Amino acid sequence: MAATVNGKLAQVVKIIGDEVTLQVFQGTEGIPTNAEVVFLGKAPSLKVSDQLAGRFFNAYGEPIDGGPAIEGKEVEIGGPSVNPVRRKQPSELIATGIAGIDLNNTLVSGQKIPFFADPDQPYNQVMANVALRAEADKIILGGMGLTNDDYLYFKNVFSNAGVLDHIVSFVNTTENPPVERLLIPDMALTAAEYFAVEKHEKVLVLLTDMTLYADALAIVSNRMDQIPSKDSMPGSLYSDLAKIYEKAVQFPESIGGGSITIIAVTTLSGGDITHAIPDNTGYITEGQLYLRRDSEIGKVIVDPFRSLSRLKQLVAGKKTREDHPQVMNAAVRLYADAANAKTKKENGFDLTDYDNRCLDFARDYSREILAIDVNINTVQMLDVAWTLFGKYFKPEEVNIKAALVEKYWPKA
Amino acid sequence: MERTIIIANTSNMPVASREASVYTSMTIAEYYRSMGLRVLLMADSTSRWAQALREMSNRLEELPGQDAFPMDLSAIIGAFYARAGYVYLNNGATGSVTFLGTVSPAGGNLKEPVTEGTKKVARCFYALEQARADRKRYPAVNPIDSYSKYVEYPEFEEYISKLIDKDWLPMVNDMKTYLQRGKEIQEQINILGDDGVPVDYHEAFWKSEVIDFVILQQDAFDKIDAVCPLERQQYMLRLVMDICKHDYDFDNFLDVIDYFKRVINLCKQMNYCEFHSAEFEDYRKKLDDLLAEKQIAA
Repeated sequence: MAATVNGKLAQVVKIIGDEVTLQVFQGTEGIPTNAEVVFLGKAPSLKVSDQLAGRFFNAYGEPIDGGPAIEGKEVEIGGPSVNPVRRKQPSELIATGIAGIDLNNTLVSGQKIPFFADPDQPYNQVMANVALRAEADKIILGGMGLTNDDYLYFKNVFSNAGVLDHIVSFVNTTENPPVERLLIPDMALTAAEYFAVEKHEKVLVLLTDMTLYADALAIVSNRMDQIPSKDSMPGSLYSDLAKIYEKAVQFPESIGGGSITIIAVTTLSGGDITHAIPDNTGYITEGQLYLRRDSEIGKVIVDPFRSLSRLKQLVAGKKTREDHPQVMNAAVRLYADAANAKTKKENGFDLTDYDNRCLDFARDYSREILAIDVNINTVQMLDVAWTLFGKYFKPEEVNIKAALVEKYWPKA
Repeated sequence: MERTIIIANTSNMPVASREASVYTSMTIAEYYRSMGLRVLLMADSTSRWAQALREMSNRLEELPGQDAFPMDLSAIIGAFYARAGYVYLNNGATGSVTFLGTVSPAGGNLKEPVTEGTKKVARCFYALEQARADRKRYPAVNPIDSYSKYVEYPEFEEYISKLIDKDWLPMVNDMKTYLQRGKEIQEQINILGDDGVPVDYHEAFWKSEVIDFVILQQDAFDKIDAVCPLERQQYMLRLVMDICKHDYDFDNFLDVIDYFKRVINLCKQMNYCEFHSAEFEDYRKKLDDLLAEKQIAA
């Protein structure tokens, strides 16, 4: 239940006997012992309607763009997620134009997947790219602890692309009290649910950065004298994260369709994926994406090695061209051979002709397909891959099924 | 679907129900076992179950053990795995519960409490490996780190000899030796370079690659290659082991690589064809011709 403490918004987090613990979102500094507490009789809520589109809000769902307040139905945030038996298995591709995603780790509507990125990587730029290119009806941005630069970046990119009218943003910047961040995912998902459930739209939710969300959880748990679990995180971290990610859903056509797809960012400390936050996230989400700077081409790519979309097999070769699964695997296999060749070269050994061809292939593959500034569709990605196979290899070196080789191998 | 029961607890369901879900499923499995049935119970994943145990232990304000798991995690896992087994029923019939759990260790680190607790009690272990997944060698089960202790049982040896034939286990053992040798040689090549090792080292390494590509790897996207019945496994393993047992005539390591790549490609094409179809036999014929080119008659 929501309450105010001397006018500051708070939430009931514990009731034992007649003792009530309140969590004041802005922090408890400056609250006197005789502060006035008003219980509002309702949970934190958001007014939802089509007026949300194109607007920017803070963690309480109040406009921060100078526009008017939203009129609409008031909905409690943080409601339950959809029962598994009412869902449809995700099976529709969301094209992003980024080959590291579309070709190698296809994104599916209704999926939940995070970027595991180091703080120095351009994850927010990649997210903005995905948002702009993805064929979605609405995009909901949940920014937690965004720097003001990133906030303005998102705002400018969306306005310049002229797509602001189908974007809704909930933003908590670094100077806002950290505990307020805890409201952001629920606010964003409540808005997403409105568009997906009531309007049957294809909604994409972007959450950045979930590590700062988890840090805020740890602050609350610490103040409540809870025993810290792994990495000083609260014991309930897994449940807290699951409550958010499990909101991703694909509704069946029979009730009009609609979907919520969640792409999140979890920043890592020095690439450490064993930390409690990425570790717990990995159990819940359907894969993870990594960014990497490819020194051969000097550009950022989605790492073809560690990245994984657990739902790609639901669409690869089924909703995309038949040769997709085999081409994707063959190309990454050759890319791995190139990585071996590179190690060999660095160790000062002579390279074989095959090694050299792999290195050339890897460079072209990276530059013409993987680089995140390349924007082509899956058919083009597959065609470019075949062209590169034909340029550097013999059919028996790529181990693709003969029927596909006959059909797609570039004719001399 | 008629023989399947799914107990589903998604991650957002209450922690107590996530903790209970393996017990619910085991109880149902035991019910069918007492009816004299063979039951396969699969849990995905026992690491998430352990996460639930961790969360509950924290809520009970227990002092945290390693990685904040409960101190008795290993005992809890052990007690659960012990419920799997083959039993005699009161009417003299038999029934069984086979338990297959997946463990997802943080960052692939196998020295963490859930993996350790599981390895202590499980007789069989399939090690999925990031490096294999990166190279798209699927299923990414590392053949050297994985093991089944059942193959050492005389009862199993007797059973498998009857089911397949008595050469089967020795053949599988030989295969493992080739793979082990291949791995050792690969490490040598990494240190000494391609030129730094004799040509027959390359030959031995590529034999292990043939086993890897043709026997161990399967393409789940391909209708035919996704499923390999026992009879077909037997045929292919015999074929590949026959390739491995022969000596070949090579001048230099480049020839070795080029030759075995062609061998692998033909075998892979066989894997994509209907067993014993005209196409399959056609590739077999091409393979035999290719082998005849370089094999030294024994």
